[in-house]
This record gives sequence, C-alpha cells and structure tokens, in this order.
Amino acid sequence: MKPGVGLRRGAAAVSIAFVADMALGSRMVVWGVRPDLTLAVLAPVSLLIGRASVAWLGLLAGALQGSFASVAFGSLSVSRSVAAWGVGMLEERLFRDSLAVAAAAGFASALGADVLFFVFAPQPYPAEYAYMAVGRALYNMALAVPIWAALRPVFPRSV
Amino acid sequence: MLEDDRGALRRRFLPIVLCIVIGAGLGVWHNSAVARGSSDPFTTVARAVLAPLVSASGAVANWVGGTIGSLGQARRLARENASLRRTVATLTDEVHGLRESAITARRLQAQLGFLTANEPPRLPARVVALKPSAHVATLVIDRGTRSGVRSGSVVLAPDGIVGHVIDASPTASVVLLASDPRCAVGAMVQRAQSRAAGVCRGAGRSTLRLGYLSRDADVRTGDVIVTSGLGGAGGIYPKGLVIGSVTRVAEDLATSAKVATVRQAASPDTIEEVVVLR
Repeated sequence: MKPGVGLRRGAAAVSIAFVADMALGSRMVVWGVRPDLTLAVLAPVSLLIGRASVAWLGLLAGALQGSFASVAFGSLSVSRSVAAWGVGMLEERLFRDSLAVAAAAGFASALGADVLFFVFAPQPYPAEYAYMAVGRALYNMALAVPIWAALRPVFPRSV
Repeated sequence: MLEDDRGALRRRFLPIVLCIVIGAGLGVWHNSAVARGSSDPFTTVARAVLAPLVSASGAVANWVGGTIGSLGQARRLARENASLRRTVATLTDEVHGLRESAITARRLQAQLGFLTANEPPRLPARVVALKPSAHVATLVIDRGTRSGVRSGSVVLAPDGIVGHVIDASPTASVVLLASDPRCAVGAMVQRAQSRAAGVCRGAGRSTLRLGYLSRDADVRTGDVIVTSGLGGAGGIYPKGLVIGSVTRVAEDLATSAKVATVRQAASPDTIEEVVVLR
C-alpha cells in the first residue's frame, strides 16, 4: 500500500472513531470501565499500515482527544503517538494478518498509552488509575479483534 | 552500507521524534492559550468541526436507544408517571411556601441593609461529549464565547453543580467536573444547626471529599452540602448551590480533623443538558 493512501485512510478511520468515541463511549461503560474507541481503532490501523509513519495518526488521535479534554493536551498527543508508532513498528507487516497479534496490539497499545500518560501527567489516585488502565486495555483488546477484521479490507497489502 | 543503515534509522525514528516534539509543542501552545483565557486555533477548529458531528451522532444514538428501550415498558412508565404526578403536586405546594419565605427573607434583608447579589443570567446548553478522555473528568458543551460563556463560568444541572468552564472556544466549551481531583469548591453543611464550612475536592467517580473541617464540626451522614461562596477555584461558585450529600464521615489520622465523603447530587455520567451561569 502506498504510504500516502494508507495514512489518509488511517486518518479518516481515526477521525470517525474519535467522533464515535465522543458520542457513544460514555454509553459503553462496563464495570466502571470505559473503552478508548479512538485507540481501539488506532491500534489495528497502525498494525495494518505497519510503518513508523503511523506515529502521525497517533498524534492526530491524541490532539483530537486533547482538544476535547482540554487538560493534559501534550501528554495525550505524545502518549498516543508513541503507542501507534510501537504497533506500527511490529516489523512492518510481518504480523498484520494475525488475529492474535491484533488483540495483543489492542491491549498493549491501550496499556502502553495509559502508562506513558501517567508518566507525563501523574494522577492523584494511582491504584484506581491502574485498575481503570488494565480494564480499559482488556476492553480495547476485545474491541480490537472485530475492528481489525472490519478494517482489513480497507488496508490491503497494495492499493 | 553505513548510509543505508542511517537511512533506515531515520525512516524508523524520525516520525516519532517529530511527533513527540510537535505533540509537546501543541500542548504548551494549548496550555498557554487556556491560561490567557482563550483557545488555540487547532482546538477552536477541531471543536467547531467535530462538536456538531458528535452532537448529531449522540442524538441518533439517543433516539435509537430510547425507541428500543421504551418498547415493552409502557406499564412501568404509566406507574412511574402516576407517581411523578403525585410528587409534582407535593413539590408545587412546597414551592409556593418557599416563594413566600423567599419574599419575606428578601424584604427583611432589604430592611436590615444587606447587599444582595444579582442573579447571573442562565444559559441552557447541551452536553456534546461526556468525559472525552478517560483520564480527565471533563465534558464538552455546545456553547462558547459567542454565547457569552467564559473561563470560570459555573455549570449546573437540575440536581446541583456539575463543574466550571476551564476552556471556552467560540462554539464549544470544556467543563471541569466537580468530581475531578483538580476541582476544589468552597462548601458548607446546609443544615441550619451546623453550617460547618470546608473545601470539597473531587475524588473521582461522582464523589468528593469535604476536608478542612474543624475537629468539632457537626457533619452527619445524609447532610446536604452546598457551596459556601468562599475560596476554592478562585471563589467562582456562588453561595447556596447544591453539591451533594454526605455518605460517610471519618477522621483524618494525620490531623484528627473530620473528613466527609460526599456523593455528587448531579450525576455527570447521565447528564444531557446543563445550565451555564454567565
């Protein structure tokens, strides 16, 4: 897939995910844990594109979240960029067709982003934060699988 | 060979280095704009473009959810309706009585020479996004500086305070919820025999911690906590707004002062419309 095409499609997917996250995220709370739909889409998209340049999609996701949250704008932008880059660097497409890796990427990207966020912007109740971070990572892992399956045709090996 | 290695390294690490620098730069730019009471262009454009889309998506989801949810609930709704009618009748009586008391209080205050504050104008607003980031207790409303909302404007729900505006752009504003640990509100017990005053600070999940109480403060479980009009967040909350009710009273082991856990009256997790005090 040409880098420009993949990134454009990725940017569209992340933007749509962000709108869905803002509109529906608060209705998807399970046991007090809310998924991060933007990250749940960002992880499979990064995996399917499989290049270091997916960091830009992470920056887009973080900046959009930061513009609505207003607090910790920089921490959100940087943590999402690093999470996307980490998934995109999984040896460029080697793992893109594995369902298990998609689930693992959903879990690791959410947990990694939350850990990085905590490093940049320490939170007042660490135990509660850790519970929410692990819960969110598991929730995102469950969501990443169907999202990966739905997005796979949109990001073929060559466009 | 060395050139190839350098090229590969650049391809791998240049994007993330640039993203970190730009992300941090955007954060600094945003924070300095908010500190000045304005909004940076990226945030302004993002909110102007995306807030209507989020609002429309939320409305569709509400409609679908409401339609499906109301099917098969007619009997329960009829029972609830009858019960609510009885409650409205009781409350209407109570309102008439309270109006009389308010008129008398105002007359007496005027006779005694008290200065009375004018009620700030109230602006209804719709919640566009609830807790946009899982890490921060904020919500986004569909009113901004064009409607007269500014940083520091207090936001209310029918049950009590929701929080205050921390970032207002022309078409939308971000509200920091009272349950966020960054939010502190001057508070006191509403009960006439107590009136113990302290500071309510967010403790997450719709709860607040009422601290800075004296050792002998008269605070009990079930007490209603209202804003004191003093201190906290620059003293922006007017006096007498309901914050919530006390669910637990404990003693701070370090200071042996009393600390109360307060359940926020307005539930930010289900809130759809709010009122902004301009």
